[in-house]
Amino acid sequence: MELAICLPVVLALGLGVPAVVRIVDANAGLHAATEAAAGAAARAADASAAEATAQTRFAAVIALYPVRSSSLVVSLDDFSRGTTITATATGIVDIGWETMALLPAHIVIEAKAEVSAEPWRSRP
Amino acid sequence: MRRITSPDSAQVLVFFALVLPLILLPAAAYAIDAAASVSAYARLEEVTVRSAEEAAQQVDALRLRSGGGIGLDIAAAVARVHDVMRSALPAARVISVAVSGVTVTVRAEQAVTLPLQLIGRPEVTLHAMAAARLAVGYESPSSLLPLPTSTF
Repeated sequence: MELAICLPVVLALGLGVPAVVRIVDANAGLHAATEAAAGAAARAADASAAEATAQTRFAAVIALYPVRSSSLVVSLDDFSRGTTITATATGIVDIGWETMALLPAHIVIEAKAEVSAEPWRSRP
Repeated sequence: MRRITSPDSAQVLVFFALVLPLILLPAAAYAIDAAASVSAYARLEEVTVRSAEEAAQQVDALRLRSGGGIGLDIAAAVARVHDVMRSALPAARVISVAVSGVTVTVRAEQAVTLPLQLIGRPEVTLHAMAAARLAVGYESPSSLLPLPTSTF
């Protein structure tokens, strides 16, 4: 009887807290990866190199975080000097068996970063 | 009719009534607050680094064209740091921007309100510092390869 009262509270704490921490960690990782990708794109020599460099950098950083099915969209505009490069990323965080603590099985997270293309880089 | 109860009954409830507010809840709150602080700190560092990098690209064009060499436009560099910080992380504050030669050093801080605030102060102040240096590149890397002496 007593256990029936106490166990749900302990389970909610024991499963809910790691889930929240995992979501916060994944969200920080997605922001970091998006920021890194935008920064890499801003320093690339031309538009095609910028797209490829951004995707490579994004994949390298996001691999370190608990995010799956992540995708990055880089908007390069005309990639002239000083223009704004926008990187938008989405990903899914699996919460897994913490669903027992009344949390959803997974949540979708988003991140966005804007960086200016280098104003003094060599023209392509 | 007399109800028979064990002398051990309700001991678990008493145990939880003590342990829950004293140990379990503070530990859970600390985990969530710590994760939120670390996340905010990572974001502050990212934006500080980017602001320093963008400030280090503010070349003094007038000086360069008049033959004075590569240098930074200090006013433009400082303005760029504030622009980046304001647009990317409005909650943060730029403490100082130091321009020394072609190096820009940015210090920033951000007050973060902890989500649960069960232990310690309800707000923490995070600090970040980043430095970036303008490095002069060149159009064609092969042009710096040693040339055969017979060319001259």
